[in-house]
Amino acid sequence: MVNHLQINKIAESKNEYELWRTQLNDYVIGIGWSYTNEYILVASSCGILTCYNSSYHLKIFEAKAHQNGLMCLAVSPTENKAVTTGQDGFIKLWDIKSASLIKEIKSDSLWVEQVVWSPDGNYFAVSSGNTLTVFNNDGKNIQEFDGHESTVSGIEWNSSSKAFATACYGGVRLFEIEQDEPIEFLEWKNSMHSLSWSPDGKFIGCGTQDSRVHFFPLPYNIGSDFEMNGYKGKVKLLDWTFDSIFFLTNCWDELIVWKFAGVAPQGQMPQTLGGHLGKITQAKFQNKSSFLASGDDMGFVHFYDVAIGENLITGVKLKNTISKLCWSNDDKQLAIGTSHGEFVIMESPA
Amino acid sequence: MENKTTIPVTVLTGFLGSGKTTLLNRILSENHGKKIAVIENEFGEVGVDNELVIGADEEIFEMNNGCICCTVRGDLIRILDQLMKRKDKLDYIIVETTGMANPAPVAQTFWVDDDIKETYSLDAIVTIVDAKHVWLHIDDSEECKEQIAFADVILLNKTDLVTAEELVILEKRIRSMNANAKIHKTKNAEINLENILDIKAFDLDAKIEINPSFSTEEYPYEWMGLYNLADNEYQIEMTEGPDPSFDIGFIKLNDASVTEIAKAKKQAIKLFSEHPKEVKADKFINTNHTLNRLLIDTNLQNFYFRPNKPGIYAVFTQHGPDEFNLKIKSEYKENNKELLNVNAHKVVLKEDLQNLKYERLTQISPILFEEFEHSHEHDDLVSSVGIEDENELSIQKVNEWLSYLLQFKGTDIYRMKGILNIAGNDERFVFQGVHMLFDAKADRLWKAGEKRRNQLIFIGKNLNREELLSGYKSCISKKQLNTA
Repeated sequence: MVNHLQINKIAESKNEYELWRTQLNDYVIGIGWSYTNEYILVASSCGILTCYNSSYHLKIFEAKAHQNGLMCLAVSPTENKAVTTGQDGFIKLWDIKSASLIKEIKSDSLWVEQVVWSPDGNYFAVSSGNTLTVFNNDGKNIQEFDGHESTVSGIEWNSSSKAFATACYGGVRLFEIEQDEPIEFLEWKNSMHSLSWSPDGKFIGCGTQDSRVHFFPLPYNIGSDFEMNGYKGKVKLLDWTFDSIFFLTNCWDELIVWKFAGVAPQGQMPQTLGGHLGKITQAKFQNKSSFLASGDDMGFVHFYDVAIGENLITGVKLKNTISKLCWSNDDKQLAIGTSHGEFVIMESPA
Repeated sequence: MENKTTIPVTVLTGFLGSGKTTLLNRILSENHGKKIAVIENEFGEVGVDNELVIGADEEIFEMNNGCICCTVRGDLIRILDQLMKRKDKLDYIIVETTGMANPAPVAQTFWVDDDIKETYSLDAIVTIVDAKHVWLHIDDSEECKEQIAFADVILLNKTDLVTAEELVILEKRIRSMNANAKIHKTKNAEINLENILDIKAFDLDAKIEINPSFSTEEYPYEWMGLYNLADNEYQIEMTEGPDPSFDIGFIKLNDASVTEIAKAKKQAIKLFSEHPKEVKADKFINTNHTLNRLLIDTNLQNFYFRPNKPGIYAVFTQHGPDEFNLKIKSEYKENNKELLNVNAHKVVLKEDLQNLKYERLTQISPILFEEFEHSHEHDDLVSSVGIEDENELSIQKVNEWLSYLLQFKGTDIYRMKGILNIAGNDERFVFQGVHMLFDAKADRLWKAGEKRRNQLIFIGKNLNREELLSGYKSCISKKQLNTA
């Protein structure tokens, strides 16, 4: 375990990795790097979308993207496009470079909760209440399903970009692209609030309301479901390393990391990463390594490398709850947002 | 660390057409300067005029802890989770349920979800009742009964559409189901907002108000008669009735005023919670604040009493006198041959007495009498049971009793609240719960001169008063009993 005195010392020292900081006017709800890392976009919960040049930290544009609040931001992994969704019922497709709105689509619901791009950048999936809609990268509706029992709580694409999964109360649905009906329903009578699909396609994990993580091994008819329990609170943060070896979960002020390596980790003890003094609110692996950043409600951001054990690499301190962490696509920089609009870009300590 | 002040949430329930939308629009349009978000069912009533109206799909699910009554609203958790991200701009949240909704899952969401508890606080459940049309649902609809039973505040709306008499009957009926809610009568949902918003009904740190004897159905007796009794001997004549015994208690009043009668009713509640003294036929009844249990084993039998002092007495009976053909007959005063009872219809002279015994004595009538409805008179079985008492309680036994109650009766107990006088503790102990979810804590110090008393109220269905009373009595501190 990590020595807390040591952590405090690190946290209060000057953040030698910090590159730039600015102050936005509201809760940072979304951050996304453009595929070349040239631009970084920040979404505030009040509805404003801001774009900066990541090299010179110049503001490229600022737009009132949504009335009544912005809910989600997703940046294309292959083009200079981004999608925002809001509490005004709109889905908006943006061209980042020209700072222009390509298309706006009105949903039937007031709240459009989630948007996720496929890894190949050809599609984005949007959830709005019980409805799941897939658009191509020009904003054309190509697929829709409104048969979820309740509000969709998670969307995740398979690394092939040909399939995706949705979670809601009662289970997980698997879809293939351009087929309206799900190809499989993985039933589990519980309320799922998070979803993560391993990059190797073998496991789907869901955080459930009763503080467990429920796993569906795939193909579904071969393995048996299993669960991880013993968590101190709801497991909202789920993430896999790029190689599907490590699976990251939050447990109040600790991170619990399970080693999968292609098989379920039954009977194995997970790694417990200590050091946070408050509730962990964000945690994210780098895109191509086992190095991770995590943030808490006291404003601390810590870094760990799970491949080399439980070691805390370093920590930085901001004033408020860490609301968003986002690694650049090359893993060289980390963007940090807080609940009170602090926005910081720092070099990766890895 | 950020400021952890919580955002209050009011749950607004009521049947379709009861006036929820009118009330909501009134709340939103009033010049209170608060930023209010409204979470309403997507299929609910329309016409709420607010930019922050959020649709919810009423996803209710059971917690995986083996308790069927621990249900929460998953959709609400997600919505509130999103709203947290703009909490510096929101002052208040109103959750409007559909007309057919049970308020329990909404309320329980604020107890079981850690994130929600950290940011929000359930302020109160407000139920709006259509004074004219509620009769269409109140007997048959579980949801209607639950909405009334769970409420902290009940608005009897559309009172202009009913007569004063109809309103009295409705209020009485509602009181019988929920003895603790504050009732306001409204037309067109016009109400001062401070009566429904930010009232902190679920806050154990706020002033907890409990009125265990609020409801007419609170009374553990069915009849009370007021008699002017002389320093004389009286006979009670009765026949077999529906029970093999008949509880009766006497309370002396200073006068026949409304205040004294109300005080006596309250004292009688306590009297009827005491262990009764059994009295066989032809024996004397104790009139000095004792609960007498008359044992009825023959078709016609008599009991006797002589008041300690002459004056006005309230006589409380477990059943209505008619059910046992109960008659109180008077004796006359020996020295002046004059019957003191002002209501006696006939004078019996001393010289006749030896021959006539009691057979020819005259039945006396009460100055006034009042009948009380039996708590299970309605078929809905939703009622309130209140307990008020001044004994000190053992904290360990209270814990055991409440744990037992929640384990075995958690489904039937909708709401419970209590202020307790714990032995050896100078602080009040307060608790409240929704089904099996329960909060308790030591409260403020008892004030100098303040009467340390226990006040508890249970609201739910199939509540058994005797069982609850018996459980309560088991919590009385042994030390206290020994001292007494």
